[in-house]
Amino acid sequence: MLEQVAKLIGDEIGADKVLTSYSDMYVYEFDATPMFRGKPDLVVRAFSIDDVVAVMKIANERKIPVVPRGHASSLTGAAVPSQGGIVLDLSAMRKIEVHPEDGYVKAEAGATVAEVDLACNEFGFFLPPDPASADTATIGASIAENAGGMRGARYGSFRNWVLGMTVVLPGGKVFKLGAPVFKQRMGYDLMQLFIGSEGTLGVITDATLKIIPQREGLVRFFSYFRNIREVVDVIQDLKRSKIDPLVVEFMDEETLKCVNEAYKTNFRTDGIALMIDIDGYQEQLDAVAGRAEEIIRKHNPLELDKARGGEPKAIELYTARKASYPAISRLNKIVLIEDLTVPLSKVPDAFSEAKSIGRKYGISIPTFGHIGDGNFHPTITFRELTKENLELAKKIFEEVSDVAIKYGGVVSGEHGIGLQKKASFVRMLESMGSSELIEYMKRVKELFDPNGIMNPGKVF
Amino acid sequence: MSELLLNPEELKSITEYCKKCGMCLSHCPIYEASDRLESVSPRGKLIIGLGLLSGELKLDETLSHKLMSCVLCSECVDFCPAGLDIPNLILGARISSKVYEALPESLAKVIENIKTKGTPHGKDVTEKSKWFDLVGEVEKEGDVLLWSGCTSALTNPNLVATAYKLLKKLEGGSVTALRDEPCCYAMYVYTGNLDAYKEEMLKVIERVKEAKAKVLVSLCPACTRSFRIYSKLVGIELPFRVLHVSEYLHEKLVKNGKKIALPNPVTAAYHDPCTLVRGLGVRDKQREVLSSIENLKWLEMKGTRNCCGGGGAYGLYQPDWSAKISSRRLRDVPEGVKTIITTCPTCEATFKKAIKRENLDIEVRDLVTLVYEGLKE
Ligand SMILES: Cc1cc2nc3c(=O)[nH]c(=O)nc-3n(C[C@H](O)[C@H](O)[C@H](O)COP(=O)(O)OP(=O)(O)OC[C@H]3O[C@@H](n4cnc5c(N)ncnc54)[C@H](O)[C@@H]3O)c2cc1C
Ligand code: SF4
Ligand code: SF4
Repeated sequence: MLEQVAKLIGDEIGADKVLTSYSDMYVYEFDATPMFRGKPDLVVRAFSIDDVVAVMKIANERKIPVVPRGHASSLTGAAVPSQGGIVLDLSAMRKIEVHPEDGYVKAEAGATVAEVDLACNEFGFFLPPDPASADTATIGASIAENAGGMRGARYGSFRNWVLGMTVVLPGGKVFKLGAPVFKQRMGYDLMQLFIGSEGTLGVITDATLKIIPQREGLVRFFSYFRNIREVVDVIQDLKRSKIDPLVVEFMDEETLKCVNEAYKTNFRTDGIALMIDIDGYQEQLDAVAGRAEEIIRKHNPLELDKARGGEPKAIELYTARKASYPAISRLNKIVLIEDLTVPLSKVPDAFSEAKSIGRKYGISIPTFGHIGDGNFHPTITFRELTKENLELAKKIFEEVSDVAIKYGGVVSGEHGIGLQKKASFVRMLESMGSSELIEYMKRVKELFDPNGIMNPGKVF
Repeated sequence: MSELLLNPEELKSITEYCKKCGMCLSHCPIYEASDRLESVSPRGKLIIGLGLLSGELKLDETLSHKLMSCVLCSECVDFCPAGLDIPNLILGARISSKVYEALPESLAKVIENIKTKGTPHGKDVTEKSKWFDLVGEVEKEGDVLLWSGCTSALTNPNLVATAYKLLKKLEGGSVTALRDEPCCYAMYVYTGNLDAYKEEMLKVIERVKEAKAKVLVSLCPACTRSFRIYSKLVGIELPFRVLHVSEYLHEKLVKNGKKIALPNPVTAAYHDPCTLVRGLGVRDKQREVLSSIENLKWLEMKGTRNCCGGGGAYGLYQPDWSAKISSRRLRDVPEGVKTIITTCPTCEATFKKAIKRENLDIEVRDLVTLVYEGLKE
């Protein structure tokens, strides 16, 4: 039957855009999680909105699942075609138009976040949300995942920057949502539903995002503290002193040990590393950075180093943070990354409890992340890829997720729910006394996607 | 650059470190030239390799085409969080799955050419000796042997002749070269056939030994890699040293503080051959040679991606994607610069084709011709 569908779509948009060979299906089975796999029945590579419309019409008529896909770097199984059907690969749709005069950029779904940011840089602007996967994360998917990043402490995630988008719904209906202006009232803000929808409502084919002028300078502080409580004290103290850092990141001892083992570096491992970036205009930068330094010193760091942006040392200081995930990846075949987010004051308890689960099972849970916004990544690791290890990793994953629930936070700050966090998402809603919300979400989905073809089985 | 893994279990075990994160994708020239076709991305090729190693996939022409869609440029390597030497793993997968048994037609033709004519280009090996006529006499034996490689000898005999004269000048003594020089057989390694490579390489070594050479100086980075790295892989100890010409020039000129000055000022952009810089790890020596040339103002090319699209004999195999890559690379020439310098005959030939196609006013020169010009007096 799908052969017929492949032919129908091919006749409509060009047979070369439709892939059906076994090897092509095989490479689309995965995303960046180790536990989920699913073979698509066919893959369509969209090069234009017309291609998307054609697929959405044909798939909807025949009730065939459609999984929109960027670069499948999702960390939750969200991009895995777990129920087969059509993978709609949007990575070739990648036009970018920068409008510095109006302060926005328009990009097609498949352009990567890094490409969009670079295009903006040419005009002295930048795109504030910066997922660590910016080199590969596509714009459409980053909106569908409401991705965040290191600058999240200041700028939050994608939601804060989306002004408008074009979506194609099952059946092929095209909607323009929002507008390239910074204030807009349009009745119910349905555009927000698509942000974080994980491909379950429709396909985002392009988006308009607010951009802002690049800052002139930066001072980076790299310090070590005895424990997580001290780290949180520093951050709270900075905020009380009216300092709003651009980046606030941390790495725990186990992460630093991984970096040392993988890269043969010599970072100290008797404390928690804290990296803080203060940015601003040249005239005020020294004054603000001076105040920040005073505050950090007041908390008696084990060590404090600093550098101005542009100096080689600034890059050196960034090495350990940048190397966290790579180091863990180099040492372990199973890497399951959590995405807990709790109120800042609860981070010390949540962090300690997550770590104690690792000790209970005798495994290493290196933990790092964007502590400035309470979002951190306990990472469940196993050196070898075996069935038993995968099973145990799943079990531990659930237990660690519950820590976020216990402390009044969320099981995902930026990576999304996908397949991996479905169970913990339900437990989270239960703990909030809002289990019924899932039913409401299903009804919203039904409105946009009555045949349930969009990325079925994800989120709920 | 890590060692090429030949044991399938070990190869599989290392490939399993791939997290399928996709951080390698946008750095791969083939992925970009294919308008982002997942199955020829670095990740896609590793997934296919793993599928073949685990028995979930069976080799056929389509899979062999995917695995062969890699110019071995190593552009992806620096971006892999798991620290994988992706091209080496792809090459390992080609070897362990014997891709040579199911090559796509155009590639099978290249191998057939080597077998029957002695060159991948389909021209008879005797045509490689044309440059001999341009230099008068070439000694039959000598301490130093000039190795031209098929691409130089067939597409640019003048370059080989100039290189020979340059080596003569720098050596003072005898410099030899092989008439009807055989292929370096790197193509056999690229297509996963180590047995055939070993058999032929042993014969090549005999020819070099007959010429009594102690040092082989190669104009071609890929031939250099074949001698220096691939021969070790099949357990051959070379009885002579192998240098790429840029390393040789560094030894002769920079180390000895020899003065070279161009008669007229030249401004040029330097393009690094992937195989030299990442395949062989030679990054500074060629730059030091360039910087030692008076009257030469040289600039780096723009951008971070440097593949010319011709590596791993890719231009012969998939000319359309190769052409896309070379056209893209030409956009990295800094504004106003009209000369590209490189030190690889394949890069040179690939660029020349692209320049013609794009109707650009840019010339491409090999490092050798610049040095020769600067040493003339
Ligand atoms: C090394 C690494 C680092 C990461 N760092 C971060 C980080 O710092 N912050 C962060 O938030 N995330 C991070 N991620 C997760 C991931 O990269 C992001 O979620 C990213 O936005 C996904 O982009 P993608 O193009 O790979 O999407 P995909 O994985 O292809 O898709 C993700 C989801 O979006 C849907 N989708 C894709 N395109 C569209 C579209 N056009 N319309 C509708 N739905 C669509 C898919 O169906 C799927 O549900 C990281 C991942 C890795 C591997
Ligand atoms: S070596 Fe080059 S061509 Fe091969 S996968 Fe890596 S980037 Fe692509
Ligand atoms: S960057 Fe490395 S780990 Fe990630 S998909 Fe590519 S090869 Fe695999």
